[in-house]
Amino acid sequence: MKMHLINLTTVLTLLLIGSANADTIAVIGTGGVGSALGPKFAAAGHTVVYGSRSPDESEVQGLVSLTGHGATATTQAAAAKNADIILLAVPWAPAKTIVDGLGPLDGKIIIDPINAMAFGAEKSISLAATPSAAELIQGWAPKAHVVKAFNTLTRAYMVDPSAAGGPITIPLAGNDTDAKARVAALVEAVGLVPLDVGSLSQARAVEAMGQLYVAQGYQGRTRFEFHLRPR
Amino acid sequence: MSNATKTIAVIGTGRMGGAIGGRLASLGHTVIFGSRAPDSEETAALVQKTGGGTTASSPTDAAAAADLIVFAVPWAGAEKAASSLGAVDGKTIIDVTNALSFGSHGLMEIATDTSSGESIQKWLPGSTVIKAFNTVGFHVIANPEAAGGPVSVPIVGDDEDAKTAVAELVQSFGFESVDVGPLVHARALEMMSMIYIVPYLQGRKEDAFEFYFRRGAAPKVSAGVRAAG
Repeated sequence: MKMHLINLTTVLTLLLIGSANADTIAVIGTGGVGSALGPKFAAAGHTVVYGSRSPDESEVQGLVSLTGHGATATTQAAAAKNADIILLAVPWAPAKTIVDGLGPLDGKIIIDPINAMAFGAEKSISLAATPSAAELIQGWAPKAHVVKAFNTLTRAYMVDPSAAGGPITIPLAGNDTDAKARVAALVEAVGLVPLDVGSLSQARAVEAMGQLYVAQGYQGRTRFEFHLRPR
Repeated sequence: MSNATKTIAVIGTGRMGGAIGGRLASLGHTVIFGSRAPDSEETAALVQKTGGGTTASSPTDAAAAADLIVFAVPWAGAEKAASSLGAVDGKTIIDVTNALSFGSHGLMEIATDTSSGESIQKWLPGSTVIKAFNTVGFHVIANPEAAGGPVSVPIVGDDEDAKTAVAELVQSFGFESVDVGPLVHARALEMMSMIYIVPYLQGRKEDAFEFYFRRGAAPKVSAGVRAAG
């Protein structure tokens, strides 16, 4: 019987989330953020397609098997083509080239976890995208729905939020309410706490939080996690 | 020690200055409000409400008498207020302001290319500017316990001793102080104040929040931080 091949956890997960909420998510980039969130999205019942410059490489294939749940890897453009949601987990420097190569993005949700930062003398860190990376990405893909998220915490707590010793807030900034709600659901599925902080113009504040977060470890001060506690 | 009392000038008699002055007086510090209108009815009422030997005078006189200066004026009047302080060389200025202006749709806009913290430091080069309290509302300063949990006050500045002294003051208010780096990071803190204020401006009280920077065990793997950018 085919049912026996589906394990109980999967059945329960599908029952809990409901198949209507299953998205196809292109995870563009298989580095720290992509390899942390891809498996979590897949475990939550979504179809994950990694988009990679070298999808056949053994490291990428290793991530595909680790992810399971029917995840695959293909080129960045092919991954984006069939996706409802795109996680743009790439460095800032090549981000525009990558977005330009993804093909038509109209109506798709782009999750932007990028910290666009310049590292200067004496360990200084400044923001490298004005007014913000998220707003610039929105300009490159005007009919996509860009949502800033996942840029203010470390990879280890994306993988295992329960190790953080308390809730971690993921501030969300974006102009499309439905897109933000869908990203909020993904944040919750990962085990983190979403907080809508407003329109995409507020992404600069979220990126400033990312800057402070990264600078804390880089400049040798006590690290912290953000909890934006509702009143 | 944080329980050593000081003479502290609070420049600005608005809601922020009033809340900070009230807390300082109740902690036993000598508060002098610096005001353009020290003899006005409003200022007299604030002085009386604050109690504890609080007085009001011109910004110059308040600053001259103070060990520590709290700078709590709106950004639009900040440069004029800074120039009214007179000689402040060697004094620590706690900057609680945000260089923001009101934009459309209940949003705030950043009103300078740098930050108010850096601007005040430039206007008053002999002073030591430490930014604090700009990401927490006056109502929370007045009563931190009403926030329903710990609240962090991030602090930036370029002088470690002054930053330590301000951190002790922050803690004496009932907040957790978090050193988040040099004064240039005031830009980040002022941007963060935007998302703090907007739920109030837009009447979305259900989205109002307090910043808490929870310090804990550092994660074993930190590569993911840089991998995204």
